[in-house]
Amino acid sequence: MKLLLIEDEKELANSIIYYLTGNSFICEWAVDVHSALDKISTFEYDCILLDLMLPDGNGFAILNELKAQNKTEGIIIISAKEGLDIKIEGLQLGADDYLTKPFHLSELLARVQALIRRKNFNGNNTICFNEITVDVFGKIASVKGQPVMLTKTELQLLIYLIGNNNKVLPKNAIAEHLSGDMADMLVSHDFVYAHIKNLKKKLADAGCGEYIKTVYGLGYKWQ
Amino acid sequence: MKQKLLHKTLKLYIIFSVLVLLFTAPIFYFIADEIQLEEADEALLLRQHEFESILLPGFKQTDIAKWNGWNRDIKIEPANTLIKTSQFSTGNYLNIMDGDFEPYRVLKSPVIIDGAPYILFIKINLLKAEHMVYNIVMLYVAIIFFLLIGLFIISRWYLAKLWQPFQQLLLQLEHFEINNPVNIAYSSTNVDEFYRLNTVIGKLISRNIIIYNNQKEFVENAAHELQTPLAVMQAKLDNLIQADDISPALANGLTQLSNSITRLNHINKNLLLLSRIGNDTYIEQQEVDLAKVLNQQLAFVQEQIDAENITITSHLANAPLKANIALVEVCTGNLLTNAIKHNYNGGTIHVELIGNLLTVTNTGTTTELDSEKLFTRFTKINPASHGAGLGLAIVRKITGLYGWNLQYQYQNNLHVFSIRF
Repeated sequence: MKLLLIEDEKELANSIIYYLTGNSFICEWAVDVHSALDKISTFEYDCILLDLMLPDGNGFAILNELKAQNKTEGIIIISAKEGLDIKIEGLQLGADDYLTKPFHLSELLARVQALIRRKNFNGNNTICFNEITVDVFGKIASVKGQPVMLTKTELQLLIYLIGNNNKVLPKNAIAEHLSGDMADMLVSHDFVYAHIKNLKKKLADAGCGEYIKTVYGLGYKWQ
Repeated sequence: MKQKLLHKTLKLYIIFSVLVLLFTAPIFYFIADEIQLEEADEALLLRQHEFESILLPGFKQTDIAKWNGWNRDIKIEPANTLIKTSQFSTGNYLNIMDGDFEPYRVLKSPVIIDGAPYILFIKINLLKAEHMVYNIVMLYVAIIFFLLIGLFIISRWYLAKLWQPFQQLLLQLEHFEINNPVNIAYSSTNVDEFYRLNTVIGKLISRNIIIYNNQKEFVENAAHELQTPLAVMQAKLDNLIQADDISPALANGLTQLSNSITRLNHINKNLLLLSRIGNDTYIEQQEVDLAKVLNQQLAFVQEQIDAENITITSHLANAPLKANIALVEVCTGNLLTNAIKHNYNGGTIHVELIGNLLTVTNTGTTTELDSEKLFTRFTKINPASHGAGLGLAIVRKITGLYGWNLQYQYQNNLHVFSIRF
């Protein structure tokens, strides 16, 4: 999978590239509107991560250009601006998702994967990991072909864990991912433990290997 | 107890006029008495002069008895004691008509009739002292009565009208809010002081709006600028924890760091929100199904508090509401999370929505919270909580924006927050 990151903050760009590269993405980086447009017209990308405030202009210019060129890349806006009006404007201009800074890299990765799945209409809507298969649109998880009854939250957690394969996921990142729009109302992250425990048990009961590891003092990891 | 300006001045006027009248009444009495005596003396002298110049030259001793028989007030008496000059005196004499003793002014002067000394005795009726006092008192009562009516009418109608521009300004200032400024309508006035007041307040308000907007912009920009470094910190940390050889102590430190970043981010978001409420950002309004919003939020928080054994009960009737849905969600969300954060293990929360009244009741500290401070930003009532003290400030700002009535009460060891829409 090939990604283009358009972001002027070097340190942030480095971290994003480092994290995503570890999960089988090839990540290219453009620092401003000019170089971004250069790359877009030359190469094809699966997904574009777009910062709105760039040194030589507004990220919306890139959205307009993509539209003009009839490009169908998935676009996720990553911006410090968080007004609802800006989100709506970005989505209307053709962006597929909007992530407000600061965010967890695991969340960014999950969003990128979800976007690519949505863009891939030709069949590949399933996530496979060894004996586990998740039909994302059908919302069914199965182990060795046998369906496992998971709650909505557990399914969401499973997709998130598999997507962030081999990454340590802090409890607060998991809690925020599961809370979605309501993350501002989080008063405790303890409920994550209960969901992990339930998911572990259901997978184990279905004869699945132990992939969820507890990383002492840090969080959890799918391995 | 604060008094109205009109009542205060009216009271002062009344006290002053009554005092003046009370002090002047005796003076008035003495002056009137003096004038009466002077007038009486003059009349007596006139009669004496009349008698002496017209009647006396032809008067005979034999006429005396006859004269005294006909005249009541001018008599000629034998000179028992010798007087050389005229003498005035005051005394009570029987008034035959009334059968009563009354005060008289008396002039005794020596006359010579047929070579023998006699005394000419002239008396004139004076006002009775009690009559005079009675009349003066009646006069003063009438003056006080009309004065009071006059003062009352003047203060009620004229002064009230005169102070009208001031009252109007005051009323508008009472409802003025710097974060939601409306134009003050200054009534035209030809009173110099009111004109100056209007001008000064106009300047003060416009200057403060500018300062307020600058400050709001500053907070917004500062919070906004903080988001990028926060994003860098978060991303670096997300990568750092992927290392293989993290010791438990380091893991602990990294987790605390991560939680701090989350907190910082939360504070930052709230600051942005606080500075944006009332902006065009949240101008859009729609019908909000409050019960639905609350049910969703209750379901969300329910999951989080299972571990803490807090029981939530709710009674939600349908209450359609017209407002910005994002702000309504923040408002109810903050009240709910607040009720959880400041609760204890095994506590209760009750959410009730009846008509246009939403109440969130929760157990918590066993002392009443300072309702003055409670809604002020950065006031931490519970030092153990991780909040920055912005949640209730945001609630107050949103309720203020829509003119809803937000209240805190402490009843039967329960903290009750209510919003009347």
